[in-house]
Amino acid sequence: MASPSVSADPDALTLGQVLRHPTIFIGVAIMAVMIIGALLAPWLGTVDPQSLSPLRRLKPPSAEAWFGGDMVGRDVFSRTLYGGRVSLMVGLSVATISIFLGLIVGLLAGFVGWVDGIVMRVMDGLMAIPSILLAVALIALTGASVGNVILAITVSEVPRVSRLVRSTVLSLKERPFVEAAIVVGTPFHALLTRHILPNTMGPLLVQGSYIFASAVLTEAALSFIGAGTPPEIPSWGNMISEGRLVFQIAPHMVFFPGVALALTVLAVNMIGDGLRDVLDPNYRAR
Amino acid sequence: MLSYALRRLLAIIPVMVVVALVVFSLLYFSPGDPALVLAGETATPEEIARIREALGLDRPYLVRLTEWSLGILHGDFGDSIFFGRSVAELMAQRAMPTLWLSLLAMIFALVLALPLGIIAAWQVGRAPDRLAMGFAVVGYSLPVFVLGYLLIFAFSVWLGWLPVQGYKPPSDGLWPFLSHLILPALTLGVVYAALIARITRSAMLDVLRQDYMRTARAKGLGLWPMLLRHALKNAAIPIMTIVGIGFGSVISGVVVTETVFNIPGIGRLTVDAILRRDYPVIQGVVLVLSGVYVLINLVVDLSYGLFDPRIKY
Amino acid sequence: MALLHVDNLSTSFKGRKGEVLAVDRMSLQIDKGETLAVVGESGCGKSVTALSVMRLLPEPLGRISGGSIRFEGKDLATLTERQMRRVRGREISMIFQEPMTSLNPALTISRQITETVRLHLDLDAAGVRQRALEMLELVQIPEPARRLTQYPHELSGGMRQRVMIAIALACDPKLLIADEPTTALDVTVQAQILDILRDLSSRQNMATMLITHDLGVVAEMAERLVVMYAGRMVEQGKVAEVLSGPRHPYTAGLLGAVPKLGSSLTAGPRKALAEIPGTVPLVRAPQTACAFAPRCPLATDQCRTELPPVVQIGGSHLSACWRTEDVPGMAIGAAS
Repeated sequence: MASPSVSADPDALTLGQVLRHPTIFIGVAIMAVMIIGALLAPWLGTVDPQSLSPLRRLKPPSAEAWFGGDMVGRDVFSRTLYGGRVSLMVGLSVATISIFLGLIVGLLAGFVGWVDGIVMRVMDGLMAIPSILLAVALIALTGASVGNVILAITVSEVPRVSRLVRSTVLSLKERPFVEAAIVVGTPFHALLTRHILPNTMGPLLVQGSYIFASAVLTEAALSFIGAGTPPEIPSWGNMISEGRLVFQIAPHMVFFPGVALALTVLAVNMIGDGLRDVLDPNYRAR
Repeated sequence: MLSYALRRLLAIIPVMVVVALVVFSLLYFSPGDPALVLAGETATPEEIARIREALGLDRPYLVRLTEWSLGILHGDFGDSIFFGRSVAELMAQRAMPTLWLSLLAMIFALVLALPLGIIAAWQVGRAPDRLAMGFAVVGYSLPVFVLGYLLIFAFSVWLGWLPVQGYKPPSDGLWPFLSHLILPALTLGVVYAALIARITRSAMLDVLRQDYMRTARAKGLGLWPMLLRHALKNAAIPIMTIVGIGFGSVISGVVVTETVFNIPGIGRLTVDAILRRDYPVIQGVVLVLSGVYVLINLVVDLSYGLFDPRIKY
Repeated sequence: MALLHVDNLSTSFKGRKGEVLAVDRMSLQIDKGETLAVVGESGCGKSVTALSVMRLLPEPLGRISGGSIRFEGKDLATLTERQMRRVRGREISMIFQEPMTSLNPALTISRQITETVRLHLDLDAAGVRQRALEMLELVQIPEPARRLTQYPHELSGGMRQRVMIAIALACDPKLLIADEPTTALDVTVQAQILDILRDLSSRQNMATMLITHDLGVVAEMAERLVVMYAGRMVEQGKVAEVLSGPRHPYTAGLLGAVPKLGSSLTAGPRKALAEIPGTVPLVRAPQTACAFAPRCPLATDQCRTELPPVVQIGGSHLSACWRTEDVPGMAIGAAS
């Protein structure tokens, strides 16, 4: 929504300046913890997330099992750390792929007249399908796997990115310096790298972090309703889904993955909000 | 006005055609054999053949597409593989709980979001603004199901004020009906409220800067007449827009919320259909809910004229 | 006793680089029924003075940091917001420079007039509507009944300013503050609006504080004149006295392009303030020297180091200048 108002060249900002923004700083800090937890899971006092121990069954958090055990006796702490891998991978992949595809579709629609009409109608149609439902329809047919989850969420995010890119291209084409560049026959790749991409990078970066956040949420929701990551892979959505049947007696099974999930999404959204602030010329003028 | 509404109504036809095409074509162009996936791992060859026939996977794409589309135009969404009953009938049966749930969620969201957004704009940069925007960012970061369980834990298990799960129709009495809906509607409403509150704040900030707000103060108007009568009406269009767009999050949320609270609505029907791999039901639900979403956004579009007299159709 | 007595008013704004004193120990008085013109270049504190009186400063950035604003004996600077609301629109009204944006685009004209009337006067529904109609007639809007149902975008700029005047005068205020009411309008419409203002203020025996940079408007409308520079009063007196014999180099500079007072009193084209080289300085601390000195052809070392006192030249004619004696001898146009 707010992304069209963003326009700035990110080159003018240094990484340090960006990190000094309090919201971004907190977001990055939380994300760093999450990423370290997921990547270094094997060395952080975890056991095999699939190993069963009858002693741990439904046990509340203790010194042995920090986050307690689940209904078949697996260690919730280990599963929470490993589960982060799925969420972060889905978030990162969906954000990258949909930005990439959306950029291509948006550029095509913005520059090639006849593509615009057709492609944008298709995008309108895709956008009319609420994202979880589109993913559900796709996964029901292709079967649950992390790859299919990524594909399904990407399909519903691409239209939003391509719309953003298309409108940026169309408004840039009106601007005198771009018009002039087109008239004098600047080669397309030069036009792209000199004028179009620098002006789309900022909004795309912001959009990318929102997509990351929403992909993490959607993956968890899909797994929760049984149409996401297959049950044999630990993921936060799966863990909550398993915990929901016993959550009155073992709330920790829902609580820990739930908190991890909420914190991750919060962190990414904070980074997105912060970036939007920093890239917004009105904000910087203050 | 009427001709504009008509034109807008016509404009949603191509959108719905694309939706229908996507939903239908997935079945044909999915990699692998959908019948195998839909039948499940333990299926016998007979079952697979039956599913293949029921979905028409053995017949040409265009023929099936034509039949299916003609059917939908007559309100026939095909038959459920699991129940053997018509999808339309199943959806009609499950529609009411979902309708009540989303209606109440919308009311909660607006009641929560508008004051928050307005106060945040009025107190911009100060504590109430930070609090409201902090709520908003947490609100749309909290997964619906995590929030749902938190609320159940607090209000049902711990305090014992409200029932844990389930649904009672209004015919069972107002309190049983409402008490079962309060928590799910709140759960569903919070994400929506967070979206609306943010847009309300930024739209109000734009309006509060305007010269006519100074005029309103110069008249000696009090704070609330000024914010509500003079500012909110001018901020209404972006707010209405997000109410429409954000309804998508309500529809997605319904699927999850009904699972958390065990409500026998369309969302629950969808989840059951996924678990049973009942593809015709999924097709029907996706199509109908997308239609609802598109229609709501059409209504939003048409409402602009109510708020801005400069818009003429 | 004066209706409004602004005494030693200071108003400061928080800016990006610290506080700015937009008004620095400013004083002025307006008597009942009198029209006072406040003149100066843009940025010299006229509008801020007016907004301070109305207590409409954009809080929390702008605030009154000193002095008093006595209106009928009570100090507006110390009233609570709630008490001030009963003053605004009832005792003191204000109209603004931009008629195109000063009316609420989403509300009907009727709504915008009647809400003030309903707020401040004890009238029944029919009386309120009657009052709104009357006001539109008073400001000479044709077909008032139809206009009431319209929205601002259906009206021209001149019509909108008439509606603003109708709103401002609907509750018979004792003082009207008009902040450049005709600047945004074209010349013929300007004359009509000024006629309406003059006519209504004398009919309702209302005092007017007219902020303008148009000396022609001053000559036509006002009895007395206050000239402001860098947030301070530099000269004041009867309009005829000041315009024919300015005693402050700034006023003389402003008048540079209007050599003969008589010509602007007749129907001739009005002149805006003359161009004086340089700009109005930003004041950050209470001034300790004459702020005009850097642009003044008569400036001496004393002007640059000591704040000039206010000198009485005769009757009500005051000037704040070390070299006020030398101003009449100043070659006209020397400043430009």
